[in-house]
Amino acid sequence: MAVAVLALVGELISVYLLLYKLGVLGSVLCVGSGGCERVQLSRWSVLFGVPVAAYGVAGYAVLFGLALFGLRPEQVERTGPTRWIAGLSALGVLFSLYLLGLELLKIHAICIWCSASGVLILAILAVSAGALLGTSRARAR
Amino acid sequence: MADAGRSMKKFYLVLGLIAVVGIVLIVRAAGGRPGAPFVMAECGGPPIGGVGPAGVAIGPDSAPVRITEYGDFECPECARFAILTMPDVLQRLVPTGKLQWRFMDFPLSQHANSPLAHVAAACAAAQGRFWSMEYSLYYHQDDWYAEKNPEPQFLDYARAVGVNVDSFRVCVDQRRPWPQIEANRCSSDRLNIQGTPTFFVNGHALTYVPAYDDLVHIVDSVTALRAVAPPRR
Repeated sequence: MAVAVLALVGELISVYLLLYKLGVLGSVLCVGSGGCERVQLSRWSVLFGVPVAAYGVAGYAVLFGLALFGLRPEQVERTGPTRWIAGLSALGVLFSLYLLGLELLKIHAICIWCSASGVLILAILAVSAGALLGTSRARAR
Repeated sequence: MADAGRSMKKFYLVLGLIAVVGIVLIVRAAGGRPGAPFVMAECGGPPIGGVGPAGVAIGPDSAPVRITEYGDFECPECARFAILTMPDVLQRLVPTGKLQWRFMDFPLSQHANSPLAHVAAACAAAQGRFWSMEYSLYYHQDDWYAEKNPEPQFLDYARAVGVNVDSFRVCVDQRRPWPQIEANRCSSDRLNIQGTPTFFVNGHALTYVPAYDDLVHIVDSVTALRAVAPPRR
């Protein structure tokens, strides 16, 4: 359940940043002096021709779908969806670290929304890894 | 079993609530600021208004180093560059005769006030005051970027840099330079510009925002290379 809530919040943040990048929003709310805009308007805000925020939208949508799928009664005892969530969120954490590195070393600005997304994906990894650990311990008993 | 069903219902209710609140906040953010009263055309068609790209240049055409900057007046990184680096470029580097600097308009669609700022700068350029107006617009960026109508501020900046305000006002109100600004923006169409500011040194893209020392190094290196390279036949 926690993963679904976290993924939904992450999805909303990613949609917000994507809409800004696409020009639908006039400005982006930010703490500090324009760090979010600086990051979002930098050349690193696009990867392989696709806005980075779009990867977030897709990633969180998949995580949200997996979390809901894992809550179905026939899936509750299975660890498949949780394993997928843990694997994907681990990739997400690595991607967030890469983006944080770009912000600190290349762009020299911090986007608070991107950081929030990084914290969310880390929390999803922690929750899913904790659930897997708990399940394996319970089975070992 | 019935308890589990009830708790799931509550959970879906919470999810729905989060989704609705998030969507409302995003929609409010989208509608919270008036859109730019300028139409940004699709690039790639015939020249807009029959005008080709030009930009505003300073420095001799014969300069061995030509740097083109694509900038947006509402972009914070562009402002930082304009305030910290550009004065040295204009006062120390351009007078050497080794460098020609060209500013090309690149107003981003995300920035509601940027088109008007570009028009204001172009109208100042029509009176030979582009570079001081550019500096003023960037220096005061925080004061006007969130305004519903920043035109009064732009008039003040224009007055302060010695522009004839009456003809400036007419120029801005009639959006006279807009076709030129659009032509400048669209000149970047094949350059794959992903953000602002973006710089091109003799046609080659720089992958970073240069400091003044970087620019000195670039100018000296290219000039030295030109000096030792055999003349082309």
